[in-house]
Amino acid sequence: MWDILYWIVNVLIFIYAITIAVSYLLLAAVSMIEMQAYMRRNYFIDYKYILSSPFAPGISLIAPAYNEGLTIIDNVKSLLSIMYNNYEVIIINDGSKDDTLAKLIPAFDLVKVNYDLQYTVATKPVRGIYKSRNRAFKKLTVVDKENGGKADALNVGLNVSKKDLVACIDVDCIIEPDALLKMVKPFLEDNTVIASGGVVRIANSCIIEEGRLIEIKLPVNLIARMQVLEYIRAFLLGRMAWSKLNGLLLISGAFGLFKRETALKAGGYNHKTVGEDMELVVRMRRYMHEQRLPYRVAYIPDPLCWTEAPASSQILSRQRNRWARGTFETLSIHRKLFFNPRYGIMGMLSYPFWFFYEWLSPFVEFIGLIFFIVLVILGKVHWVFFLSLTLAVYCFAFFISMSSLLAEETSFFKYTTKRDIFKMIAIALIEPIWFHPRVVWWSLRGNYDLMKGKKSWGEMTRQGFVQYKSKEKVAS
Amino acid sequence: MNEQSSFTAIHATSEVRIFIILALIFFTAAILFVGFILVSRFTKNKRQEKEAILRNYFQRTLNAMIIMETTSSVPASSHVFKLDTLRTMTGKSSLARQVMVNQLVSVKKSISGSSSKILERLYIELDLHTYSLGKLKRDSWQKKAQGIRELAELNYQPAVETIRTYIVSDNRTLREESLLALVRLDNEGPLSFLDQYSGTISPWMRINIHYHLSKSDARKLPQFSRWFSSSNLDVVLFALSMARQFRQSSAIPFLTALLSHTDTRVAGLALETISALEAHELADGITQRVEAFWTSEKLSSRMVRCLGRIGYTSEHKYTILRYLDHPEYTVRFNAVQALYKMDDEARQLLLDFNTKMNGILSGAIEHVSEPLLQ
Repeated sequence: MWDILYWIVNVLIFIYAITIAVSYLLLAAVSMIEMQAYMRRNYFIDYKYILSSPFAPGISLIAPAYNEGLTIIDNVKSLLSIMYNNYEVIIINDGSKDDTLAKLIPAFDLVKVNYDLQYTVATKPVRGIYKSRNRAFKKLTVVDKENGGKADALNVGLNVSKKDLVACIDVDCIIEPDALLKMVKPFLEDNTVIASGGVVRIANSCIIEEGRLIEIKLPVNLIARMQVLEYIRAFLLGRMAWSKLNGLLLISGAFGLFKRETALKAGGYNHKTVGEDMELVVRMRRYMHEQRLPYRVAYIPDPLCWTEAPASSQILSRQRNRWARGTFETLSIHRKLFFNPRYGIMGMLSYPFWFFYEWLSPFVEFIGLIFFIVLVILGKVHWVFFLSLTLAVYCFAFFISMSSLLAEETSFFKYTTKRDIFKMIAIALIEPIWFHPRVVWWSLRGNYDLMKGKKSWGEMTRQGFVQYKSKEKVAS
Repeated sequence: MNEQSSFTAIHATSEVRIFIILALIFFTAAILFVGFILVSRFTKNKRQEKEAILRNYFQRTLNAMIIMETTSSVPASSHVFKLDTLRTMTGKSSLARQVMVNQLVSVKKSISGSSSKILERLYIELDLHTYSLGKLKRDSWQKKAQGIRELAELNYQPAVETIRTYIVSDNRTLREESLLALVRLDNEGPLSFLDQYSGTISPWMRINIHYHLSKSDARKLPQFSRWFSSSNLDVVLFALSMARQFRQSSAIPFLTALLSHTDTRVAGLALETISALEAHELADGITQRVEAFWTSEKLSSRMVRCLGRIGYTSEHKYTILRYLDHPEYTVRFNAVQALYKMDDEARQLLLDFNTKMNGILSGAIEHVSEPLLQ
C-alpha cells in the first residue's frame, strides 16, 4: 500500500516537474524569438509621428487614488506631462480618508461642474466631478466618489471617459513620457487589438525628480532587488511568449490600455475580486470569443511603467497574498474555460497553464516538501538521488534567470554597469533558496485566507518616491 | 530482497547520472549566457565609443561644410579637401559609412532649405547612396528596409522604381517602408500606387503618410476624391480621411454617394468629412437619408453632430430633434449638444422639448452648457 502511494506521488510530482520545466523552456524560447522580432520591427519606428497626428486615437488615463495625499500633486503633474496629444487624465478619489481631494482642489484650481454622468457600469455614487479653471490643466478631470475599492473606481473612470481607449494606471507609478505613444501603436497596426500591456519595472532606488525617472539603479534593498529579477523574468520571458500565442491573460493593473467600448460591453471591472486586472482581460477575451469576433491582446516589451516594489517582507507578503487570491478568484469565476476548445488558445492552453503552473504550483511544492519530510522521518530518502535532483532543479532555475537577463541585455539594456550584472547573478543564485520559498508560503497563506473569506486588498504602505528624493537631498 | 535493493540502487544511479548531466547542461548554458552578456556589454561599449568618436568628427565636418557652402569667401579647395577626408574616413569601414549616413539623416531632420540640399548632395558625392542601394540586395528584410529608409530620408529620387518593387513584399515592415518612401520620393504622383493597391492601410500607415504629405507642398497633393470609388475599402477610408484633413472642398460633390456605402465606417467618415468641410449644401441630402442612420448608434451620433454643424433650416433642426428620443444615450447627448450650439431657434426647440418631457434632458443640457466641459 505504502509503495503504491509512494510510487503514485513520485510519478505525479515527476510529471508535474517535467511539464513545468518544458513549458518554461518553450515560453523562454518563444519570448526570445519574439523579442528579437519586435526589436527588429521597431527599429524603424518614429513614435513622434503619432504625437502630431490628428489621427491619433483619444486616450483617457484613469488613475484611482486612495489616501495618496502625500504624493498626489507630483503624481498628477507627472501624468499631465506625458507625451501624447489627444488624452485626458481622470483621477478618481475613491473616498480617501486623508487630504487627497483637499490638496488637489487648490493645486489645480478645481471647481465642481455639472457633468451628466451615466452609470453605464454600476458603481458607488459619485459625489462630484471637478474641472480646472486653469487652461493649463484642461486635460484634468477629478472625480470624487464614495469608497468602493480599486475596481469600482476604475469603473467610474470608464463611465466618465469619452475617449476610444482607456489606460488604467496606478497613480503612484512613474510612466515613461513616451509610454502612450508606444502602447497605442498595436491598436493602430491592428484594429482587432482590444488591450495592450507593457513591462512594469521596479523603481526602488532609482532617482526620481518631479515624477520623472532620471537615473535607473538597482534597488539597494535585497527584497526589492529580488523582485527586479522576478519582474524581468515574468515580463520578458513569460508574457512576451503568451502575447505571441495570443494567450495573454494578464495585463498588469499598474499600466494597461484597453478599448473602452469592449471593456464596457464586457461589463467593466469586477469589484468582487482583488485580481480585477486579470479578471477584466479574461472577461474581455471571453466576450470577444462568445461574440465570435476576432481579437488580439497585445503586449510590448518596452519598459514603460516604473513602480515602487514592497521593500519589506510584511508588505510583500500582503501583496503576494492578494495576488494568490486574485488568481484563484479569476480562475474560479471563469472555470468554464478550463480545457474548453470553444475558447481556443485561452481555454486549451492559457487557462490550464495558469491553473496548473501559477495557482497550483505552491500547493505542489508544499506537498512535495511535506512528502519529503515524511520520507526523511521514515528513512526512505535516497540522499544522493535527492541531492542530484535538487542540483538539477537549482541549475534549471539559475538557467531561466540567466535567460531573462540575456533577454534584457539584448533588448533594453537598462542596468548598464558591470557591477549590476554581477549583483543580478548573485541574486539569481540566492533567490531559489531565500526568496522563492517565502513567495510559495505567502501564496499558500493567500489561498487559506480566501477560504476564510478574506476579501480586502491588505494595506500597501509605500515609502514613496518623494521621500526618497528628500533622503537624497538630506544626504547631499 | 538483495536483488531488489541492488536493482533500485542501479536504477537510482542511472537517474542520478541523468540529473547531474541535466544540472551540468543548465549550469553550463547559464554560464555561457553570463559570458555572452559580458562580451556583449564589452563589444557594445567599444562600438558605442567608436561611434561617438566618428559621430563627433562627422558632425564637426558637416557643420563646417554647411557653413563653407553658405559663405562665398571660403575657397573651393577647402571644400574638396574636407570631402576627400570624409571619403577616406567612410571608405575605411562599414561602421564609418553607417555612422555618416545616420549623421546626415539626423542633421537633415533638424534643418531645411538649401542646407538640406547640401546634405543630399554630400550623400551622393560620398557615394553613400550606393551603400544604401547595396542594402536592397541583401537577404535580410531589415537591411532592405534600412536602405529604403536612408534613400527616402536623403531624398534619392532615382531609387523610386527600385523601391516600388517592394510594395508587394510579404514582409509588412518592408512593405510599409517602401510605401512611405514612395510618398516622399515620387514627385510625379506620391500616391499613384493607390490606383492598383490591394493591400491594407492601417491607421498607423495613415498617420505616417499624413505626416509626410503634410510636409510636402499642398498644391501638389492629389485630389483624394479620385479614390472614393476604389474597390479597396482601406483606400476609400484613407482617401476620405485625407480629403477631410487637407480640407479638399473639391471632394464635396462626391461625398453624398458615400453616405449610402454598405460599410458603416465609410458612411461615418463621409459624415465627418462633410462636417469638417462645412458642406452646408449637403445638409438636405443627409436629412433625406436620416432613416438609414437610426439603427446604428455610431452613424446616428455622427449624423446629428454633422447636421448640427452644417444644418441651417428648420427641417434640419427638427431632424436632430427626433434624435432626442433615440434609445442610445450617446446619440441623445450628441443631439442635445448639436441643438444647443446651433442657434437660438434650435436651443429653444431643445428647451421646449425638455419641458414637454418633464426635464428628462436637463442633465445633458446642463452638461453641454458648462463652459469648463467644452
